[in-house]
Amino acid sequence: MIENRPMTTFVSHTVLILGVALIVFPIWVMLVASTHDALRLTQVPLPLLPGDQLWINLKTLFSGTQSGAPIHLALFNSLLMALSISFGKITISIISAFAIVYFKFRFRMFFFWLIFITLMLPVEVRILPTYEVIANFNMLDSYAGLSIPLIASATATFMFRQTFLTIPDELMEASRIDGAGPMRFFIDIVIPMSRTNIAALFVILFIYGWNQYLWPLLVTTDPDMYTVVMSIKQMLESGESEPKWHLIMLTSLVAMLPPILVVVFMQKIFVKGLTDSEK
Amino acid sequence: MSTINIQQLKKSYQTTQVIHGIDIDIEDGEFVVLVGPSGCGKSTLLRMVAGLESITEGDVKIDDKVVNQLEPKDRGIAMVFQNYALYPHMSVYDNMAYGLKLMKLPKDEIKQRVQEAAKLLQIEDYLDRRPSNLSGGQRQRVAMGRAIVRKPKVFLFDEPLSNLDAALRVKMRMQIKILQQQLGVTTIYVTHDQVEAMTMADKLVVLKDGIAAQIGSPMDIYDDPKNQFVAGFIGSPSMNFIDCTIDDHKLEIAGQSMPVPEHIKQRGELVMGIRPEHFNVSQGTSLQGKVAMIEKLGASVLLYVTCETLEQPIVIECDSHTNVKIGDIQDFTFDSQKLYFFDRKTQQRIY
Repeated sequence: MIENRPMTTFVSHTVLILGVALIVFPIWVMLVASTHDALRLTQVPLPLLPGDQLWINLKTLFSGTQSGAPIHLALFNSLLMALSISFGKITISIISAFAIVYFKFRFRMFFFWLIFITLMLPVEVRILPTYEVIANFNMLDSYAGLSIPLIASATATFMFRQTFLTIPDELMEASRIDGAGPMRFFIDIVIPMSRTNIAALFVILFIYGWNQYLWPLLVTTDPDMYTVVMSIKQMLESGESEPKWHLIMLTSLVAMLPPILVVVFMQKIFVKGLTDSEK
Repeated sequence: MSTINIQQLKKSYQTTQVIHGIDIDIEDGEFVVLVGPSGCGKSTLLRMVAGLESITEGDVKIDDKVVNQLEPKDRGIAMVFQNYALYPHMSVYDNMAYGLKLMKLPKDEIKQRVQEAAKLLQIEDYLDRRPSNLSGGQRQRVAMGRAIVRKPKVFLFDEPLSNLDAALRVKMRMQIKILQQQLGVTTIYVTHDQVEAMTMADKLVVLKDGIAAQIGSPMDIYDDPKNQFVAGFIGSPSMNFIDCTIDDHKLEIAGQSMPVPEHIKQRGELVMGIRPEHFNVSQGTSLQGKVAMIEKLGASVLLYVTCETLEQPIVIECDSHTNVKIGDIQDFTFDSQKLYFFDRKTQQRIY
């Protein structure tokens, strides 16, 4: 729809600017807060312009003297967890989707539905039994305990299944005639053809893993295993002292960066993966 | 260089049988076309030869060796698919080289074979491109190139031209035929287009409902169809079928009587078949009808002629400069040597 009326343009831009402002304002406050010292943030009114303490705050944060574990350790934990969840999920679900789409075995549909039904059981619902299992495996306070329960997933399997269904059967037949066995076909044809989907899924899963809060809170008691998202919450509850808002805000800022970077750098391929398919 | 023997081949899916025992013997270097309406089992038959479809009963032999249980890659075949089935993420070169790489041929030989095939098909300039950047005809050629580089004993084509536009189809079918003659590779080609079938085949197999209705050279089948189905399917525009009654004195069609041609010995209620090209517009005693429709094809004109008691109009092909208008009542003579007669019940040809 192309319209060329000044009034419409004006109204639509106003609405858009208001919407953007509404979303950007809290982030701006966060950004500003992270550049002041603790004292300034206890005074009313709150500052709306950046201060000059950013570098000092960063130093405090990464030295780890203020809030238990140093922040870079938490960042590393988060990164490792998010990456294992993304890679683990993609690997497992692409293989299971391949099995379900390209092989005819007994109870194939039964297994598909079994996987599919877990869509209705996110971590929060099965959190107690899952905790029990992880505890019995002695995986509390470990990277395995952090990521493995979040790897099992139907969404990715389902998405890959739908992608594979759009790959014409003739390609499989052509590769059979060319002499490719199932695994060759999987590696040479299926995976390259779904690479945009893999990338899109990676973006989604990385953010999903990075933002996990409840599960890390449950399985980790050792501060060395804390993730960034958790540690923000921990900083809020640090005893009787005043919450150190400038550091909390800075931590949030730092915690936001990796997902933003992933989205920015993979945006093009992400959109491509969700919308078009080169078939 | 190889022969193919298909013996009592049958195919069932669960309880439904789709191919009911087909025998075809294919000689070395022969171009065999499987033709038939959709659902007649022609693609299934081809896929059974390729090894993409399991064989329920019967044998497929390539070079006198039963290949029923062999994987497609071990049968020495190459196949061209209707939608080409090119690997979209590979360049043209890689598409053609993929099978050779899996055969573990040395790099130099792969390169040499691909270059040779590309030259033959005039796609040398596109070797670095992706299939999505090629036109339909070019993709078609790449698909053929992928088949050629394998140096197969047998080419299998599954309706390879049906995704092309009409002009290109005519050009490509000639190229395929020339190429096949050059390479001398035994070929099975599936199509539903009877013109394609007639023009390309050394041996034509007309299939109907999973049965080989007739096997023979194109002209044999055209001149001497075994039954009404084959007679109607081969030839374009297709043969007219007219109910008729013959007794000792006269041949009666659509309430009009005419003398019985001397060489016709059959009597009774029959179906008469006559091809559109065997009619003439003339003043002699013959069939009379009203011109309902005229189709101008350029080189010739098709007249759709209705007679009082006939449900279907009769199609008549005549010279393009014939002076006929819609609504004209005309007499049409036909060549009594070129008549076919079929039994009304069995639809088998009796003369």
